[in-house]
Amino acid sequence: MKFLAVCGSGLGSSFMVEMNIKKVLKELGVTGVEVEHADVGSAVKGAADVFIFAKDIAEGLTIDAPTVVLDSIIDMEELREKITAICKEMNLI
Amino acid sequence: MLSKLITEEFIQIIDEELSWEDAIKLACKPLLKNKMIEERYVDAMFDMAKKHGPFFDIGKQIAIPHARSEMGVNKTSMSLLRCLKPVYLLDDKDHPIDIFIIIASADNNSHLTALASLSEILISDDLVNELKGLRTVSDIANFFRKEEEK
Repeated sequence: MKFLAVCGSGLGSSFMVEMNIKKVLKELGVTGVEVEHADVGSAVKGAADVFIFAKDIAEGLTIDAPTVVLDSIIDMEELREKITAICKEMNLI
Repeated sequence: MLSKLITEEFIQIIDEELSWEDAIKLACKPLLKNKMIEERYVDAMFDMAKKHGPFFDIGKQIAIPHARSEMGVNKTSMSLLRCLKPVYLLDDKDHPIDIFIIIASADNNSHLTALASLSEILISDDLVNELKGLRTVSDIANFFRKEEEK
């Protein structure tokens, strides 16, 4: 199972999201999930099982895969809530 | 690493209404002066924002403008601009910004340690409020030193 955090450049915001997702997964006790970060161009079907975007990136993008859209990438509460939901959806917890 | 990058020389505080472009240009000034980045890196950030929208806005009225290393970075560096009057990213009222942190990575990788420390700070509402309450360049530099020593 692979989660991919995506931002415009694949260097800044997406790395922060990756870090914070790893933190949440650890809290939830979810194992066996790879988390990586990448730029928008790499966000194509098959590149990951779940894609995580900031809201503004998501607006210009359609991808036929489970997707999490974040309003703020440094809001742990929002991230915790949305990552928990996607983990349930993917039968990880 | 973070406090070694965001030192006094790379911190500015401004109490003027600015366009988002002028704010980013101003934030980049110390990086240009020290030849950490080239002019084209500034333009690359504008292009990135225009192409992908205000993704530099990471929430809590903080923006981290950046582009890729091959777009004109000489040395991995960061600079901080504290705007006491909010700046609207892409002139969008939904994206008011109080703090710009420009990130320049020389190899698309060497900024990650500092970025990780920055992220640790910014996820804490208390620390963000503390940072926003600071009104001198040396207080801001010391804030990052203090946090990194923890």
